[in-house]
Amino acid sequence: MSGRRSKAGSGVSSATMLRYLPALSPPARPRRRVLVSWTAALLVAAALAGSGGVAWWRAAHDERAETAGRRDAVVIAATRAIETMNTLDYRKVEDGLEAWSATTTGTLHDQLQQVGKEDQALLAQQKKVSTGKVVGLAVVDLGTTTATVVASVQVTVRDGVDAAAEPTVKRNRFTADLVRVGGTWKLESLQQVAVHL
Amino acid sequence: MRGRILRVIAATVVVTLVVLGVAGWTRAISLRHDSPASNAALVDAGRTEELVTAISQSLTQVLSYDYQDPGLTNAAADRVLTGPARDEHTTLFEELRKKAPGQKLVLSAEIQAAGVVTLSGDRATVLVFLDQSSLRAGDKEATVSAAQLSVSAVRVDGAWKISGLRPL
Repeated sequence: MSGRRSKAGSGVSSATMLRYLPALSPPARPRRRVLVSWTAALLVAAALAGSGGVAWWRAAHDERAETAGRRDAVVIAATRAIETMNTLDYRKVEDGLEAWSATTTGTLHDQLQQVGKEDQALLAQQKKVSTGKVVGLAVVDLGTTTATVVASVQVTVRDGVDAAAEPTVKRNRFTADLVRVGGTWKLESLQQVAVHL
Repeated sequence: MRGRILRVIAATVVVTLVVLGVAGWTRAISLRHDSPASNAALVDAGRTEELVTAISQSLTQVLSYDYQDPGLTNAAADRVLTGPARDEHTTLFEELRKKAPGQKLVLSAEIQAAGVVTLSGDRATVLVFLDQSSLRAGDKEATVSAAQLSVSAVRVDGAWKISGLRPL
């Protein structure tokens, strides 16, 4: 009885084992296939990671981006400086001149330092408020610490006495040289582009 | 058991590498996309200079006019203008053709300064300072006017053409 039972039992168990045998102990070929797929997956992943790293590094260390960034910094600084130089309120001449001074360097800066009390009084007497707005600007020459720009400027002049008077609007063409001093771009020269024919 | 640990390690490594790779590419693409270098003005010195030269020449040609040889201006317009700029020039040209012979009108244009504002791919904008003189019969001296133009340009078949002219 017991031997029969045991025989039957072992019969069931061996049948189960037979059924699961291939999964528990795969033959040599599929195992190699698994190894190959893992290796392939690792290689593909490594290639992706490697190329991603290189792409990132190259994008972050792009010389073109550096030049373009410098150009854009010049555009922003030149716009601000040229607008400042075309803006003056007769009620705040001293502030205006200080702003001119702060945005310039070199010869232009020196010339502005020479604006004396008499000139200041004269500017105040004119009772005008001028506001400059750059309507177009392009960099024509770009070095590491020097740049040249051309700018189209709209200057609006209001009469300080007669508030009802129509402001006069002029459009001026300028060429300006900038120099990078201590990390900031400053105006070194600012000249109107005269008609020349 | 050992096989299972190996598989877990391998899977972790693969996933980590994929995440790193995707992160790298994503960052690179976003850096490139936001890069100020997408505007090649002055960054690509050769193309910038080529553009300035082309626009300067083209503008001088289409904004100069001699009542004795209007065909020259018209031919230049055909060659270098496109889109709205071409249409505007046609209107202006018709007007000139009617009036110019009676006045013996001669217009000549000269570029004072030009700089590239934007240059990306086949599109560009250029800031141009230009003087135009007009001389009529009976004039002792030419009348000179100063202009500031924002010029839009497109590259067609390897050559820059002016598509828009906007006085500033």
